[in-house]
Amino acid sequence: MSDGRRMTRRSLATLLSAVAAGVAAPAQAPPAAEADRVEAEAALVRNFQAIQKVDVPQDTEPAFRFQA
Amino acid sequence: MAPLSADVFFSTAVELNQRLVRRDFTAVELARAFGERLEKLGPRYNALALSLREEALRQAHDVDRELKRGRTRGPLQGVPYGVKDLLAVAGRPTTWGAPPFAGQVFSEDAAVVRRLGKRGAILVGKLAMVSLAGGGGYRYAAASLQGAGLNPWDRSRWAGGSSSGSAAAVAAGLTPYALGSETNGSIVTPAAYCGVTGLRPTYGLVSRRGSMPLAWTMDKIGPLAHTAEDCGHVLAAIAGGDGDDPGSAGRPFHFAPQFARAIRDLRIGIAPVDFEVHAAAPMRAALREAVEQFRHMGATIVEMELPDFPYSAVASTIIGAEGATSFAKLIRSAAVETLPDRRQKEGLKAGLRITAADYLQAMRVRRLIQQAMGALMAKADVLLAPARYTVATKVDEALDGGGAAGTGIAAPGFRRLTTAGNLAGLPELVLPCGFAEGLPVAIGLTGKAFSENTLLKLGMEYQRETTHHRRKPAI
Repeated sequence: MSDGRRMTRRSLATLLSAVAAGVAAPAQAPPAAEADRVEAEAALVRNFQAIQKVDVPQDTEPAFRFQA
Repeated sequence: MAPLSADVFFSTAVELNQRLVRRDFTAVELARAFGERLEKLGPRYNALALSLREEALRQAHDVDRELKRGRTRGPLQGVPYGVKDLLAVAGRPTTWGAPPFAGQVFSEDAAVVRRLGKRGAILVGKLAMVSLAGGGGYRYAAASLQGAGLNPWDRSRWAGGSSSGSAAAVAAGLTPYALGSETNGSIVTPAAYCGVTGLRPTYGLVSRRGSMPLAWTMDKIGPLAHTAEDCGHVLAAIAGGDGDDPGSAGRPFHFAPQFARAIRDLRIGIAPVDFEVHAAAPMRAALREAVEQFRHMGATIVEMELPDFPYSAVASTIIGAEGATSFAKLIRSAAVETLPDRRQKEGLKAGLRITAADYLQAMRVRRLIQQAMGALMAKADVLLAPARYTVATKVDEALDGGGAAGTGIAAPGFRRLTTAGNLAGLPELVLPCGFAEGLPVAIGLTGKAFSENTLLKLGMEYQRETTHHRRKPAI
Protein backbone atom coordinates (compact mmCIF):
# COMPACT_ATOMS: atom_id res chain seq x y z
CA MET A 1 0.00 0.00 0.00
CA SER A 2 1.54 3.30 -1.09
CA ASP A 3 1.59 6.33 1.18
CA GLY A 4 -1.02 7.95 -1.02
CA ARG A 5 -3.50 5.20 -0.21
CA ARG A 6 -2.77 4.98 3.50
CA MET A 7 -5.69 5.85 5.67
CA THR A 8 -5.01 7.68 8.87
CA ARG A 9 -7.36 7.51 11.85
CA ARG A 10 -8.33 11.10 11.22
CA SER A 11 -9.16 10.54 7.55
CA LEU A 12 -11.08 7.37 8.44
CA ALA A 13 -13.14 9.28 11.00
CA THR A 14 -13.79 12.04 8.49
CA LEU A 15 -14.86 9.53 5.86
CA LEU A 16 -17.11 7.62 8.21
CA SER A 17 -18.81 10.77 9.45
CA ALA A 18 -19.26 11.94 5.85
CA VAL A 19 -20.75 8.59 4.89
CA ALA A 20 -22.92 8.59 7.96
CA ALA A 21 -24.13 12.09 7.19
CA GLY A 22 -24.73 11.19 3.55
CA VAL A 23 -26.69 8.09 4.38
CA ALA A 24 -28.55 9.57 7.29
CA ALA A 25 -29.51 12.87 5.71
CA PRO A 26 -32.54 11.69 3.75
CA ALA A 27 -33.82 9.66 6.69
CA GLN A 28 -33.34 12.57 9.09
CA ALA A 29 -35.35 15.00 7.00
CA PRO A 30 -38.59 14.55 8.89
CA PRO A 31 -41.89 14.53 7.09
CA ALA A 32 -43.94 17.63 7.86
CA ALA A 33 -46.22 15.83 10.30
CA GLU A 34 -43.23 14.50 12.19
CA ALA A 35 -41.79 18.00 12.38
CA ASP A 36 -45.08 19.26 13.80
CA ARG A 37 -45.10 16.45 16.37
CA VAL A 38 -41.57 17.25 17.41
CA GLU A 39 -42.39 20.95 17.66
CA ALA A 40 -45.57 20.31 19.68
CA GLU A 41 -43.67 18.17 22.16
CA ALA A 42 -40.80 20.63 22.33
CA ALA A 43 -43.30 23.34 23.18
CA LEU A 44 -44.59 21.24 26.08
CA VAL A 45 -41.07 20.82 27.41
CA ARG A 46 -40.37 24.55 27.09
CA ASN A 47 -43.55 25.27 29.02
CA PHE A 48 -42.65 22.82 31.80
CA GLN A 49 -39.17 24.29 32.06
CA ALA A 50 -40.53 27.83 32.30
CA ILE A 51 -42.99 26.77 34.99
CA GLN A 52 -40.33 24.91 36.97
CA LYS A 53 -38.29 28.09 37.20
CA VAL A 54 -40.97 29.80 39.28
CA ASP A 55 -40.16 29.78 42.98
CA VAL A 56 -43.37 28.28 44.37
CA PRO A 57 -43.64 28.29 48.16
CA GLN A 58 -44.09 24.77 49.58
CA ASP A 59 -47.52 25.57 51.02
CA THR A 60 -48.98 26.80 47.70
CA GLU A 61 -52.01 24.76 46.76
CA PRO A 62 -53.16 24.57 43.15
CA ALA A 63 -55.74 27.15 42.11
CA PHE A 64 -59.21 25.79 42.73
CA ARG A 65 -61.01 29.08 42.34
CA PHE A 66 -60.76 30.81 39.06
CA GLN A 67 -61.43 34.45 39.82
CA ALA A 68 -58.79 36.65 41.47
CA MET B 1 -92.48 46.12 1.56
CA ALA B 2 -89.66 48.58 0.92
CA PRO B 3 -86.17 47.32 1.73
CA LEU B 4 -84.71 48.61 4.96
CA SER B 5 -82.19 51.40 4.60
CA ALA B 6 -78.52 50.50 4.79
CA ASP B 7 -77.99 52.37 8.07
CA VAL B 8 -80.03 49.66 9.81
CA PHE B 9 -77.21 47.16 9.38
CA PHE B 10 -74.79 49.19 11.45
CA SER B 11 -77.27 50.32 14.08
CA THR B 12 -76.86 49.18 17.65
CA ALA B 13 -79.22 46.69 19.25
CA VAL B 14 -80.64 49.47 21.42
CA GLU B 15 -81.36 51.66 18.38
CA LEU B 16 -82.96 48.78 16.47
CA ASN B 17 -85.19 47.90 19.39
CA GLN B 18 -86.29 51.52 19.74
CA ARG B 19 -87.23 51.57 16.06
CA LEU B 20 -89.13 48.30 16.44
CA VAL B 21 -91.11 49.72 19.34
CA ARG B 22 -91.81 52.85 17.25
CA ARG B 23 -92.99 50.54 14.44
CA ASP B 24 -90.49 51.97 11.93
CA PHE B 25 -90.31 48.35 10.77
CA THR B 26 -91.40 44.98 12.06
CA ALA B 27 -89.33 42.26 13.66
CA VAL B 28 -90.06 40.05 10.67
CA GLU B 29 -88.74 42.70 8.27
CA LEU B 30 -85.64 43.10 10.40
CA ALA B 31 -85.00 39.36 10.72
CA ARG B 32 -85.51 38.88 6.98
CA ALA B 33 -83.12 41.73 6.14
CA PHE B 34 -80.35 40.55 8.46
CA GLY B 35 -80.93 36.89 7.53
CA GLU B 36 -80.59 37.62 3.82
CA ARG B 37 -77.54 39.80 4.38
CA LEU B 38 -75.88 37.15 6.52
CA GLU B 39 -76.54 34.48 3.89
CA LYS B 40 -75.32 36.71 1.08
CA LEU B 41 -72.25 38.30 2.67
CA GLY B 42 -71.34 35.82 5.41
CA PRO B 43 -69.52 33.48 3.00
CA ARG B 44 -67.53 36.45 1.69
CA TYR B 45 -65.76 36.52 5.06
CA ASN B 46 -66.02 32.77 5.77
CA ALA B 47 -68.14 33.92 8.70
CA LEU B 48 -71.30 31.90 8.27
CA ALA B 49 -71.55 28.38 9.68
CA LEU B 50 -75.32 27.94 9.40
CA SER B 51 -78.21 30.21 8.49
CA LEU B 52 -81.22 30.00 10.78
CA ARG B 53 -83.33 32.43 8.77
CA GLU B 54 -86.50 30.35 8.71
CA GLU B 55 -86.49 29.79 12.47
CA ALA B 56 -85.70 33.48 12.93
CA LEU B 57 -88.71 34.53 10.90
CA ARG B 58 -90.97 32.35 13.05
CA GLN B 59 -89.52 33.88 16.24
CA ALA B 60 -89.89 37.35 14.75
CA HIS B 61 -93.59 36.74 14.03
CA ASP B 62 -94.07 36.01 17.73
CA VAL B 63 -92.22 39.17 18.70
CA ASP B 64 -94.36 41.27 16.36
CA ARG B 65 -97.49 39.88 17.99
CA GLU B 66 -96.09 40.73 21.42
CA LEU B 67 -95.16 44.26 20.39
CA LYS B 68 -98.65 44.79 18.98
CA ARG B 69 -100.05 43.83 22.37
CA GLY B 70 -97.62 46.22 24.05
CA ARG B 71 -95.62 43.47 25.71
CA THR B 72 -91.99 44.58 25.80
CA ARG B 73 -89.09 42.47 26.97
CA GLY B 74 -86.19 44.88 26.99
CA PRO B 75 -83.69 46.25 24.49
CA LEU B 76 -82.87 42.95 22.77
CA GLN B 77 -86.46 42.12 21.88
CA GLY B 78 -86.85 41.60 18.16
CA VAL B 79 -83.15 42.28 17.47
CA PRO B 80 -81.29 39.66 15.40
CA TYR B 81 -78.03 38.12 16.60
CA GLY B 82 -75.63 35.29 15.81
CA VAL B 83 -73.73 32.75 17.92
CA LYS B 84 -70.34 31.14 17.61
CA ASP B 85 -70.83 27.60 16.38
CA LEU B 86 -69.78 26.09 19.68
CA LEU B 87 -73.12 26.93 21.25
CA ALA B 88 -75.83 24.32 20.86
CA VAL B 89 -79.05 25.09 19.05
CA ALA B 90 -81.50 22.25 19.46
CA GLY B 91 -81.96 20.08 16.41
CA ARG B 92 -79.44 21.93 14.24
CA PRO B 93 -75.77 21.12 13.59
CA THR B 94 -73.24 22.42 16.09
CA THR B 95 -69.89 21.73 14.48
CA TRP B 96 -67.39 23.30 16.87
CA GLY B 97 -65.73 24.48 13.66
CA ALA B 98 -64.22 21.05 13.11
CA PRO B 99 -64.77 18.36 10.46
CA PRO B 100 -65.03 15.49 12.99
CA PHE B 101 -68.12 17.20 14.46
CA ALA B 102 -69.71 18.41 11.23
CA GLY B 103 -72.79 16.24 11.78
CA GLN B 104 -73.15 16.82 15.51
CA VAL B 105 -76.66 17.74 16.72
CA PHE B 106 -77.78 18.45 20.28
CA SER B 107 -81.30 18.16 21.61
CA GLU B 108 -81.24 21.28 23.80
CA ASP B 109 -80.30 24.90 23.30
CA ALA B 110 -77.26 26.24 25.11
CA ALA B 111 -78.21 28.13 28.28
CA VAL B 112 -77.22 31.47 26.74
CA VAL B 113 -79.35 30.85 23.63
CA ARG B 114 -82.29 30.00 25.85
CA ARG B 115 -81.77 33.12 27.97
CA LEU B 116 -81.61 35.39 24.95
CA GLY B 117 -84.74 33.71 23.60
CA LYS B 118 -86.55 34.68 26.78
CA ARG B 119 -85.65 38.31 26.06
CA GLY B 120 -87.15 38.05 22.60
CA ALA B 121 -83.80 38.10 20.78
CA ILE B 122 -83.86 36.61 17.28
CA LEU B 123 -81.14 34.10 16.41
CA VAL B 124 -80.41 34.40 12.68
CA GLY B 125 -77.33 32.24 12.31
CA LYS B 126 -74.41 30.32 13.66
CA LEU B 127 -71.01 31.82 13.04
CA ALA B 128 -67.71 30.30 12.02
CA MET B 129 -64.89 29.68 14.43
CA VAL B 130 -61.41 28.22 14.62
CA SER B 131 -61.65 24.43 15.00
CA LEU B 132 -62.27 23.43 18.62
CA ALA B 133 -61.74 27.07 19.62
CA GLY B 134 -58.05 26.61 18.90
CA GLY B 135 -57.51 23.76 21.36
CA GLY B 136 -54.07 22.23 20.85
CA GLY B 137 -52.83 25.42 19.19
CA TYR B 138 -52.82 26.05 15.45
CA ARG B 139 -50.47 27.47 12.88
CA TYR B 140 -52.75 28.97 10.25
CA ALA B 141 -55.94 31.02 10.21
CA ALA B 142 -57.39 28.38 7.89
CA ALA B 143 -57.81 26.05 10.88
CA SER B 144 -61.59 26.14 10.52
CA LEU B 145 -64.39 24.25 8.86
CA GLN B 146 -65.24 27.36 6.79
CA GLY B 147 -61.65 28.34 6.01
CA ALA B 148 -59.76 31.34 7.33
CA GLY B 149 -61.96 34.02 8.88
CA LEU B 150 -61.51 37.08 6.66
CA ASN B 151 -61.41 40.58 8.05
CA PRO B 152 -64.13 42.93 6.75
CA TRP B 153 -61.63 45.81 6.77
CA ASP B 154 -59.27 43.95 4.46
CA ARG B 155 -59.98 40.44 3.27
CA SER B 156 -56.28 39.68 2.94
CA ARG B 157 -56.17 39.92 6.74
CA TRP B 158 -57.38 37.51 9.40
CA ALA B 159 -60.51 38.26 11.41
CA GLY B 160 -58.77 36.87 14.50
CA GLY B 161 -59.65 33.80 16.46
CA SER B 162 -61.17 31.82 17.68
CA SER B 163 -64.48 33.77 17.54
CA SER B 164 -63.68 34.78 13.95
CA GLY B 165 -67.19 34.68 12.49
CA SER B 166 -68.72 36.50 15.46
CA ALA B 167 -66.38 39.47 15.12
CA ALA B 168 -66.49 39.57 11.32
CA ALA B 169 -70.30 39.39 11.30
CA VAL B 170 -70.63 42.38 13.63
CA ALA B 171 -67.96 44.39 11.84
CA ALA B 172 -69.59 43.81 8.44
CA GLY B 173 -73.08 44.59 9.71
CA LEU B 174 -74.32 41.03 9.23
CA THR B 175 -75.64 40.79 12.78
CA PRO B 176 -76.00 43.66 15.26
CA TYR B 177 -74.26 41.61 17.93
CA ALA B 178 -72.98 38.08 18.40
CA LEU B 179 -71.85 35.71 21.10
CA GLY B 180 -68.30 34.46 21.20
CA SER B 181 -66.24 32.57 23.72
CA GLU B 182 -62.84 33.05 25.25
CA THR B 183 -60.45 30.65 26.89
CA ASN B 184 -57.32 32.71 26.23
CA GLY B 185 -57.93 35.64 23.87
CA SER B 186 -60.71 34.33 21.63
CA ILE B 187 -62.99 37.34 22.13
CA VAL B 188 -60.28 39.93 22.68
CA THR B 189 -58.29 39.12 19.53
CA PRO B 190 -61.09 39.07 16.93
CA ALA B 191 -62.79 42.10 18.51
CA ALA B 192 -59.53 44.04 18.27
CA TYR B 193 -58.71 42.90 14.74
CA CYS B 194 -62.20 43.59 13.40
CA GLY B 195 -62.76 46.88 15.24
CA VAL B 196 -65.78 45.87 17.30
CA THR B 197 -66.52 46.12 21.00
CA GLY B 198 -66.04 42.85 22.86
CA LEU B 199 -66.54 41.79 26.46
CA ARG B 200 -64.93 38.82 28.14
CA PRO B 201 -66.90 38.46 31.37
CA THR B 202 -65.57 37.33 34.73
CA TYR B 203 -65.13 33.55 34.87
CA GLY B 204 -68.33 31.96 36.14
CA LEU B 205 -70.66 34.89 35.43
CA VAL B 206 -72.17 33.33 32.29
CA SER B 207 -73.35 29.72 32.10
CA ARG B 208 -71.48 27.49 29.67
CA ARG B 209 -74.11 24.75 29.61
CA GLY B 210 -74.52 23.64 26.02
CA SER B 211 -71.18 25.14 25.01
CA MET B 212 -68.16 23.20 23.76
CA PRO B 213 -65.83 22.49 26.68
CA LEU B 214 -62.21 23.30 25.90
CA ALA B 215 -60.72 24.16 29.29
CA TRP B 216 -63.21 23.93 32.13
CA THR B 217 -61.30 26.26 34.42
CA MET B 218 -60.90 29.00 31.80
CA ASP B 219 -63.83 28.96 29.33
CA LYS B 220 -66.07 32.06 29.23
CA ILE B 221 -68.87 33.23 26.93
CA GLY B 222 -69.37 36.88 26.08
CA PRO B 223 -70.74 39.38 23.56
CA LEU B 224 -69.25 41.20 20.59
CA ALA B 225 -71.22 44.27 19.49
CA HIS B 226 -70.98 47.78 18.09
CA THR B 227 -71.00 49.43 21.52
CA ALA B 228 -70.23 48.89 25.18
CA GLU B 229 -73.86 49.65 25.93
CA ASP B 230 -75.04 46.76 23.75
CA CYS B 231 -72.47 44.48 25.42
CA GLY B 232 -73.99 45.44 28.77
CA HIS B 233 -77.53 44.58 27.68
CA VAL B 234 -76.42 41.27 26.21
CA LEU B 235 -74.44 40.40 29.33
CA ALA B 236 -77.48 41.21 31.49
CA ALA B 237 -79.49 38.75 29.40
CA ILE B 238 -77.01 35.87 29.44
CA ALA B 239 -75.42 36.20 32.91
CA GLY B 240 -76.61 34.54 36.09
CA GLY B 241 -76.10 31.43 38.15
CA ASP B 242 -76.66 27.97 36.72
CA GLY B 243 -76.55 24.84 38.85
CA ASP B 244 -75.84 22.83 35.71
CA ASP B 245 -72.55 24.64 35.08
CA PRO B 246 -70.04 23.55 37.74
CA GLY B 247 -68.03 26.71 37.06
CA SER B 248 -70.96 29.02 37.66
CA ALA B 249 -70.32 31.71 40.25
CA GLY B 250 -74.02 31.74 41.07
CA ARG B 251 -74.19 35.51 40.74
CA PRO B 252 -76.60 37.67 38.80
CA PHE B 253 -75.57 40.67 36.74
CA HIS B 254 -77.66 43.83 36.62
CA PHE B 255 -76.57 46.26 33.96
CA ALA B 256 -76.44 49.47 35.95
CA PRO B 257 -73.45 51.56 34.89
CA GLN B 258 -75.13 54.61 36.39
CA PHE B 259 -74.40 53.18 39.82
CA ALA B 260 -70.75 52.34 39.10
CA ARG B 261 -68.07 54.59 40.56
CA ALA B 262 -67.54 57.95 38.94
CA ILE B 263 -64.74 57.97 36.39
CA ARG B 264 -62.96 60.77 38.26
CA ASP B 265 -62.64 58.35 41.21
CA LEU B 266 -61.01 55.62 39.14
CA ARG B 267 -57.33 54.81 38.91
CA ILE B 268 -56.32 53.34 35.56
CA GLY B 269 -53.02 51.49 35.40
CA ILE B 270 -50.92 51.64 32.25
CA ALA B 271 -47.41 50.50 31.33
CA PRO B 272 -45.75 53.25 29.25
CA VAL B 273 -43.47 50.70 27.57
CA ASP B 274 -46.56 49.24 25.87
CA PHE B 275 -47.16 52.51 24.06
CA GLU B 276 -43.55 53.38 23.39
CA VAL B 277 -42.00 50.03 22.50
CA HIS B 278 -44.19 46.93 22.52
CA ALA B 279 -47.04 48.07 20.28
CA ALA B 280 -46.28 48.23 16.57
CA ALA B 281 -45.10 51.74 15.69
CA PRO B 282 -48.05 52.72 13.45
CA MET B 283 -50.50 51.89 16.25
CA ARG B 284 -48.92 53.98 18.98
CA ALA B 285 -50.54 57.33 18.20
CA ALA B 286 -54.06 55.88 18.40
CA LEU B 287 -53.24 54.01 21.59
CA ARG B 288 -51.71 57.06 23.28
CA GLU B 289 -54.70 59.13 22.26
CA ALA B 290 -56.97 56.63 23.99
CA VAL B 291 -55.01 56.99 27.22
CA GLU B 292 -55.27 60.77 26.96
CA GLN B 293 -59.01 60.47 26.42
CA PHE B 294 -59.43 58.57 29.69
CA ARG B 295 -57.28 61.14 31.44
CA HIS B 296 -59.46 63.86 29.91
CA MET B 297 -62.54 62.04 31.21
CA GLY B 298 -61.17 62.49 34.73
CA ALA B 299 -59.52 59.15 35.51
CA THR B 300 -56.18 59.12 37.29
CA ILE B 301 -53.54 57.38 35.20
CA VAL B 302 -50.94 55.45 37.19
CA GLU B 303 -47.91 53.59 35.88
CA MET B 304 -47.40 49.90 36.62
CA GLU B 305 -46.62 46.63 34.91
CA LEU B 306 -47.31 42.92 35.17
CA PRO B 307 -45.31 40.94 37.68
CA ASP B 308 -42.90 38.46 36.16
CA PHE B 309 -44.52 35.06 35.53
CA PRO B 310 -44.43 32.61 32.61
CA TYR B 311 -48.06 33.40 31.77
CA SER B 312 -48.14 31.77 28.35
CA ALA B 313 -46.46 28.57 29.59
CA VAL B 314 -48.92 28.27 32.47
CA ALA B 315 -51.95 28.91 30.25
CA SER B 316 -50.71 26.53 27.54
CA THR B 317 -50.12 23.75 30.05
CA ILE B 318 -53.54 24.17 31.67
CA ILE B 319 -55.45 24.52 28.41
CA GLY B 320 -53.37 21.74 26.84
CA ALA B 321 -54.12 19.28 29.63
CA GLU B 322 -57.80 20.17 30.02
CA GLY B 323 -58.35 20.33 26.26
CA ALA B 324 -56.65 17.00 25.62
CA THR B 325 -58.77 15.43 28.35
CA SER B 326 -61.93 16.98 26.95
CA PHE B 327 -61.10 15.75 23.44
CA ALA B 328 -59.33 12.50 24.38
CA LYS B 329 -61.82 10.37 22.48
CA LEU B 330 -61.27 12.40 19.30
CA ILE B 331 -57.50 12.49 19.74
CA ARG B 332 -57.32 8.71 20.05
CA SER B 333 -59.46 8.20 16.96
CA ALA B 334 -58.64 8.40 13.27
CA ALA B 335 -61.03 11.37 13.00
CA VAL B 336 -58.43 13.69 14.50
CA GLU B 337 -56.58 13.46 11.19
CA THR B 338 -59.45 15.32 9.48
CA LEU B 339 -58.67 18.54 11.36
CA PRO B 340 -57.37 21.04 8.81
CA ASP B 341 -54.35 22.29 10.76
CA ARG B 342 -51.45 19.87 11.22
CA ARG B 343 -50.01 21.78 14.14
CA GLN B 344 -53.35 21.57 15.92
CA LYS B 345 -53.55 17.81 15.48
CA GLU B 346 -50.09 17.32 16.94
CA GLY B 347 -50.73 19.84 19.70
CA LEU B 348 -53.83 17.97 20.79
CA LYS B 349 -51.98 14.66 20.78
CA ALA B 350 -49.09 16.14 22.76
CA GLY B 351 -51.57 17.44 25.33
CA LEU B 352 -52.34 13.88 26.37
CA ARG B 353 -48.74 13.57 27.51
CA ILE B 354 -48.97 16.38 30.07
CA THR B 355 -48.63 14.67 33.43
CA ALA B 356 -50.78 15.32 36.47
CA ALA B 357 -47.70 16.72 38.19
CA ASP B 358 -47.08 19.21 35.37
CA TYR B 359 -50.72 20.28 35.34
CA LEU B 360 -50.86 20.73 39.09
CA GLN B 361 -47.62 22.66 39.12
CA ALA B 362 -49.10 24.99 36.50
CA MET B 363 -52.16 25.36 38.71
CA ARG B 364 -49.96 26.19 41.70
CA VAL B 365 -48.25 28.92 39.68
CA ARG B 366 -51.72 30.03 38.57
CA ARG B 367 -52.59 30.60 42.23
CA LEU B 368 -49.53 32.83 42.58
CA ILE B 369 -50.60 34.70 39.45
CA GLN B 370 -54.08 35.18 40.88
CA GLN B 371 -52.59 36.56 44.10
CA ALA B 372 -50.29 38.85 42.14
CA MET B 373 -53.15 40.11 39.99
CA GLY B 374 -55.20 40.72 43.12
CA ALA B 375 -52.34 42.78 44.54
CA LEU B 376 -51.97 44.70 41.28
CA MET B 377 -55.67 45.47 41.18
CA ALA B 378 -55.52 46.81 44.70
CA LYS B 379 -53.41 49.65 43.25
CA ALA B 380 -55.61 50.35 40.22
CA ASP B 381 -59.29 49.84 39.49
CA VAL B 382 -58.70 49.12 35.83
CA LEU B 383 -55.67 48.15 33.73
CA LEU B 384 -55.45 49.64 30.25
CA ALA B 385 -53.30 48.11 27.52
CA PRO B 386 -53.33 47.56 23.79
CA ALA B 387 -55.82 44.76 23.15
CA ARG B 388 -53.37 43.46 20.55
CA TYR B 389 -49.87 44.72 19.86
CA THR B 390 -50.13 44.42 16.08
CA VAL B 391 -52.95 45.01 13.62
CA ALA B 392 -54.66 41.99 12.06
CA THR B 393 -52.17 39.51 10.66
CA LYS B 394 -52.16 38.40 7.03
CA VAL B 395 -54.43 35.47 6.34
CA ASP B 396 -51.66 33.15 5.21
CA GLU B 397 -49.16 34.19 7.88
CA ALA B 398 -47.96 31.50 10.30
CA LEU B 399 -49.44 32.36 13.68
CA ASP B 400 -46.79 30.53 15.68
CA GLY B 401 -43.92 32.04 13.73
CA GLY B 402 -42.30 33.92 16.57
CA GLY B 403 -44.87 36.60 17.15
CA ALA B 404 -44.43 36.03 20.86
CA ALA B 405 -40.69 36.50 20.68
CA GLY B 406 -41.08 39.98 22.04
CA THR B 407 -39.17 43.14 21.47
CA GLY B 408 -35.97 42.27 23.25
CA ILE B 409 -36.95 44.79 25.91
CA ALA B 410 -36.78 43.46 29.45
CA ALA B 411 -39.73 45.49 30.75
CA PRO B 412 -42.82 43.31 30.42
CA GLY B 413 -45.39 46.08 30.41
CA PHE B 414 -48.83 44.53 30.01
CA ARG B 415 -47.94 42.40 27.00
CA ARG B 416 -49.32 39.28 28.62
CA LEU B 417 -52.28 40.98 30.29
CA THR B 418 -54.94 39.10 28.35
CA THR B 419 -53.40 35.77 29.33
CA ALA B 420 -52.91 36.92 32.93
CA GLY B 421 -56.51 38.14 33.03
CA ASN B 422 -57.77 34.81 31.72
CA LEU B 423 -55.75 32.87 34.28
CA ALA B 424 -57.15 35.09 37.02
CA GLY B 425 -60.71 34.98 35.67
CA LEU B 426 -60.91 38.76 35.26
CA PRO B 427 -63.17 40.62 32.82
CA GLU B 428 -61.81 42.57 29.85
CA LEU B 429 -63.60 45.07 27.62
CA VAL B 430 -62.17 45.73 24.14
CA LEU B 431 -62.81 49.16 22.63
CA PRO B 432 -61.84 50.25 19.11
CA CYS B 433 -59.63 53.32 19.42
CA GLY B 434 -58.50 54.16 15.90
CA PHE B 435 -56.80 52.80 12.81
CA ALA B 436 -53.29 52.05 11.64
CA GLU B 437 -52.48 51.10 8.05
CA GLY B 438 -56.22 51.01 7.38
CA LEU B 439 -56.83 48.38 10.06
CA PRO B 440 -58.50 48.71 13.46
CA VAL B 441 -56.57 49.38 16.65
CA ALA B 442 -58.13 48.66 20.04
CA ILE B 443 -57.47 48.97 23.73
CA GLY B 444 -58.40 46.47 26.40
CA LEU B 445 -59.67 47.46 29.83
CA THR B 446 -59.16 44.74 32.44
CA GLY B 447 -61.09 45.05 35.68
CA LYS B 448 -61.53 43.34 39.00
CA ALA B 449 -63.67 40.21 39.14
CA PHE B 450 -67.35 41.09 38.68
CA SER B 451 -66.57 44.76 37.93
CA GLU B 452 -68.28 44.66 34.52
CA ASN B 453 -70.40 47.71 35.29
CA THR B 454 -67.27 49.77 35.90
CA LEU B 455 -65.72 48.63 32.62
CA LEU B 456 -68.95 49.21 30.71
CA LYS B 457 -69.37 52.67 32.20
CA LEU B 458 -65.85 53.56 31.09
CA GLY B 459 -66.54 52.10 27.66
CA MET B 460 -69.85 53.92 27.24
CA GLU B 461 -68.33 57.23 28.30
CA TYR B 462 -65.37 56.68 25.96
CA GLN B 463 -67.71 55.89 23.07
CA ARG B 464 -69.78 59.00 23.81
CA GLU B 465 -66.61 61.04 23.37
CA THR B 466 -65.23 59.23 20.30
CA THR B 467 -66.45 57.83 16.99
CA HIS B 468 -64.04 54.96 16.29
CA HIS B 469 -66.72 52.37 17.01
CA ARG B 470 -69.01 54.00 14.44
CA ARG B 471 -66.68 53.56 11.48
CA LYS B 472 -67.81 51.02 8.90
CA PRO B 473 -65.76 48.99 6.47
CA ALA B 474 -66.55 49.22 2.76
CA ILE B 475 -68.63 46.13 2.12
